[in-house]
Amino acid sequence: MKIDVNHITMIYPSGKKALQDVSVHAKSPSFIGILGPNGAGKTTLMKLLIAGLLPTKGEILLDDKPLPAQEQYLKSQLGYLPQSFGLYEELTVWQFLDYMAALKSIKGKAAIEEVLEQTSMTGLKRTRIRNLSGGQRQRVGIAQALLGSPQLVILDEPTVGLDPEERVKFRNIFSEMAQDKIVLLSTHIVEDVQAVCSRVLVIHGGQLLFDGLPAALIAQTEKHVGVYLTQPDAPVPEGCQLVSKIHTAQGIRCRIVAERLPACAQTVEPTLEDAYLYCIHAFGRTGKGDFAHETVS
Amino acid sequence: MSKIFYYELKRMLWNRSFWGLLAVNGLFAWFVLSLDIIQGIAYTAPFSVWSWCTYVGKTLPPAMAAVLLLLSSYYGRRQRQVEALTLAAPVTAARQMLLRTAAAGVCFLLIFLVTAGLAAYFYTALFHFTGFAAFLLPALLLALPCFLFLAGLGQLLAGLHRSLLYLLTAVSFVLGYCGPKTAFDLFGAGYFSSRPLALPVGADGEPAFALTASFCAARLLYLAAGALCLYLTAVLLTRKARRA
Ligand SMILES: Nc1ncnc2c1ncn2[C@@H]1O[C@H](COP(=O)(O)OP(=O)(O)OP(=O)(O)O)[C@@H](O)[C@H]1O
Ligand SMILES: [Mg+2]
Repeated sequence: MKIDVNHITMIYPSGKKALQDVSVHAKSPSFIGILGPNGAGKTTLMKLLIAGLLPTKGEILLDDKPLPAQEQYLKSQLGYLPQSFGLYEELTVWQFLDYMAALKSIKGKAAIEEVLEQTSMTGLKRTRIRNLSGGQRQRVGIAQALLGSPQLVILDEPTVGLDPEERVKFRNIFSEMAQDKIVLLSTHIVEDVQAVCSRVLVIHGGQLLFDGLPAALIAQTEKHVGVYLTQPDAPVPEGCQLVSKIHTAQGIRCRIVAERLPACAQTVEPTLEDAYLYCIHAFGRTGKGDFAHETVS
Repeated sequence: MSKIFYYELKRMLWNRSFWGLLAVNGLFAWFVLSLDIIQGIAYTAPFSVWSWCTYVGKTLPPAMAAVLLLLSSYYGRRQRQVEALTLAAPVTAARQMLLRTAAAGVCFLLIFLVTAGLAAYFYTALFHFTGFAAFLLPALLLALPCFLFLAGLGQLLAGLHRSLLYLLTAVSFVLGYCGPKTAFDLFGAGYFSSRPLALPVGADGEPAFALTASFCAARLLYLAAGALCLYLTAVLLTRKARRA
């Protein structure tokens, strides 16, 4: 499977421009993490990809054919977890998955048993959905997305509401799926992407700021991350973005990203989180992404 | 497809409100039988086809109100949230709508069977009457177009705005009991209770029952309008799915 997003612009009827001239190309296998702050346009991009929205400008190609013509094919290959969704409260977990399987024309019980197993919901399969916890509901959402192992898996903030142990488990499930499929997941938890994704997109203010390997994002942040010791209440130097603040025996240790580090700061190795923040920070300063787009095949 | 239908039906039947509505419909039907039909409609026997059709016409509005209420839950906020998942599946929004209309049709049939069953009990117990064969066709001609038309129009309106569906329910009630007494009477109570008065009395002391061409034509029209409404609803929902 192959997806080409060509110069997409999305303006909502309210007049809000949610995406501007975004292009992304992907083919299986790939595991793409989409990072971006709240309101960046991640959900909008995903809704465009599942034909839930029509772009204002630009086009999306699925296997070289325009998406609207491929809608049935897309949906037959799609596993989608929306950011917010509802479930039929009166059904049990098993019944709901059985219903979703019917909508996806998946026959037999094996597929349902398999996703129940994967999402550790086997023990809860006879529980009514109204009696589930928030994290368990999220797992039902993930389970229905994995039904029938679809070729294209789009997950909008899948790890929201999951405990740390489950998060790690799901990360591994997703990365296993990505061996032969396209898996796209959005998050603002950098850790989720760092651990498993082979490719990362950074979106901010509707623009694609970076598209490439996580290592490449980190490499571009080299020499822009520093730490220094300071007193409580001391302001962050101008032009710097605070990453973390840790109380130590010597004082407060601040970690910052900046285009030009202040003299007091000592340069350190960047992490993906630093790189992401630097990317967003650089955008805020210049109003455009000054990061090179790397093409990934 | 049958599995989706099964779950739609299961969710409707599961609904506590369905059983409540069924009970209210049964109770109402019994009142109609024991207060109204027992006196005979338009000077015909209580078990004449005229009386039977009037009975059907009088019990249809609450039955349709129940159906519209069941369907209204598919146009609410909760349903939209579930559609975030279901509309990403290959089965189209239009087909899902048709399947749930069919499920609502089964609920309607259940209500109809209960009211018909009450009438059958009433007729046999009070009048030792069992000639129900002549009742079948007129009942079908009343119930089917009425269901299709209102279920279609109701969903089309609900697709535009949910409150319009409630408005339609109210309007259909008014039409059911104080509507026109012509062949175009959707529910038929007005038509079948006034028509015998205009007909000559036959050998058995009451006008012979007959369905006029204009009545049948009106039924066809309602069927066609209902089908058109369902089609338009399908188009509307397909367009809406792109703005989910
Ligand atoms: N239906 C809508 N109508 C109008 N504007 C919208 C609509 N949906 C989203 N927006 C706007 O579009 C922008 C992008 O929203 P989007 O939901 O894609 O962000 P996001 O990256 O998913 O954010 P989050 O991390 O909070 O989920 C936001 O500014 C939002 O206010
Ligand atoms: Mg979002």
